Amino acid sequence: MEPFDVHIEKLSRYLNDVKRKRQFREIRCPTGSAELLEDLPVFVGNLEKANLILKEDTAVELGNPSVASCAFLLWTPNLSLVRDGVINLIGPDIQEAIGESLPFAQVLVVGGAEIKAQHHLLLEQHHVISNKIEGYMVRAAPQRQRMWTRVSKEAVEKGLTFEVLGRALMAIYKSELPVIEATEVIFITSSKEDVKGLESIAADVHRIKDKALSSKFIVKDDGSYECTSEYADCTECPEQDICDEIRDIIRLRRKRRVASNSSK
Amino acid sequence: MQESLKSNNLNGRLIAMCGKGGVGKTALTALMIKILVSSGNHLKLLAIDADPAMGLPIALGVDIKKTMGAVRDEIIRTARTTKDERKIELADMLDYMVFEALTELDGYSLIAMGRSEAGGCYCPVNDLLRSAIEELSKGFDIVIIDGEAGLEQIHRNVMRNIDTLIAITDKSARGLQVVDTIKKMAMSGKVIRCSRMGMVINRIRAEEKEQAIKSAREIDIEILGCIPEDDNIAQNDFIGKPILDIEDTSPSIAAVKDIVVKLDVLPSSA
Repeated sequence: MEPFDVHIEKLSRYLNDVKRKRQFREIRCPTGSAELLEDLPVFVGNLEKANLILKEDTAVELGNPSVASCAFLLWTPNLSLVRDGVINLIGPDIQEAIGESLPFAQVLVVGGAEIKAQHHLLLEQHHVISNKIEGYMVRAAPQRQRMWTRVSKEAVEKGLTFEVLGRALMAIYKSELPVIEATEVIFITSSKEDVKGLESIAADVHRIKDKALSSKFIVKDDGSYECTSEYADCTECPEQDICDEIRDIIRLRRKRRVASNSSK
Repeated sequence: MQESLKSNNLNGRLIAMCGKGGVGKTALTALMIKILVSSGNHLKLLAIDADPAMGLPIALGVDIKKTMGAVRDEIIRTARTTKDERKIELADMLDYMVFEALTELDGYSLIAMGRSEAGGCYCPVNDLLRSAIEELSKGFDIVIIDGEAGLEQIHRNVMRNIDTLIAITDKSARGLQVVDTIKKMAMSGKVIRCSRMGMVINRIRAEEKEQAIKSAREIDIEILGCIPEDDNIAQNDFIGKPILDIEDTSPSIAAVKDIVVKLDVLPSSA
């Protein structure tokens, strides 16, 4: 699994294009996790009770399945591709959309010299910050790259904005995953079309992840199989049992073929 | 007897309806929702239709877009193609799908279990969905489950521990027999655990009330109330109008209000 450098560049080109047409804000935040969490108006950490925010308690809804949502994560060991501590907001902020149900995209770009392919799922799991921010309910479908969230009226009164969400998200990543050195967040709420414009990158990420997570065999012209897994050594591969089984089947088939040829 | 029905693992105010088919479980559930919503207490109320026939949404006049049966099918489909490493994604996705199946209405929310196309037992899937429903229920003040005749459907797919089990019957001997069977099942604690069990006698004419109560007492469970025959419910049923829309002056409303008071679920009477 290659780092997502190409996709980060593609994302950057896409954002530059959308930024020109829409309301855009770039919020520069500190880069240390302690500084990021300083003076946040809502609690960030493990909440005792699961966030359940029903419609009547909702100030703003983001990414309802009937509107549109897109959420994914890109990582790279190349730190020059990540603008550490930057939150990009395209579209209205939470306080500007009270009572509305907005389309929503959340993209996280993380960098760290030591990030490897096997970190991908772990990195993605932290993308779903459910039950970690007071007054912010997250329901995510990572396999569909969908994220549906609600901000409570109480949290809005306390001052929850995308800056707060972005800071919390970056702080959670940096404090819980030491392999992360830089984080950049992108939020899009401007339109369904702008959110859907990210789907091709999201689909690419999903496809690459799928490929990396399944030990892929390519059938070569001579009928033999070639493993395309990124593991240099089969003993490290979680699919080794399956491969061993397949090798046994291949061996049995070869034996049978040899036996039938010699009987001719 | 109440002692033998005690459970050590109960939270919140979870109420489940059961009883013979056609005795009025769904009507009582709908009326309780109507009363609780109009009580002005702003309680977070969740109604769960555990009957695959999905009569409750009709009684409430609600259109259900996604059932838990559809969620179950999606889980099975996804699990077939999901590798071990990605189970966590499926776990996250479950809450997303359950929330998709939650219909939020004025004053209450509704989940319909519906039917699953996938068939099969898939006990672990049921366990998974049950845990998601139990987790969701924790966010609500009151949960009312409209069940099938027996307790198996609730036990298998919805919840294993409830606070109050309401067995509903009409004046028929068969209805009472079913209540007696349910009582025995509940007392065994094997099918479902509840801390309180009560009976409601439905569609009773004034002159029949005394005799019905006398027969019901033989089963030896608390009688929570008697609901009179209500032409307004029958009329709404007949013309396909939601039961929820019956007039507040309807005779059944007063009777169900008394039952709600006895259940002690409203903050003013807590």
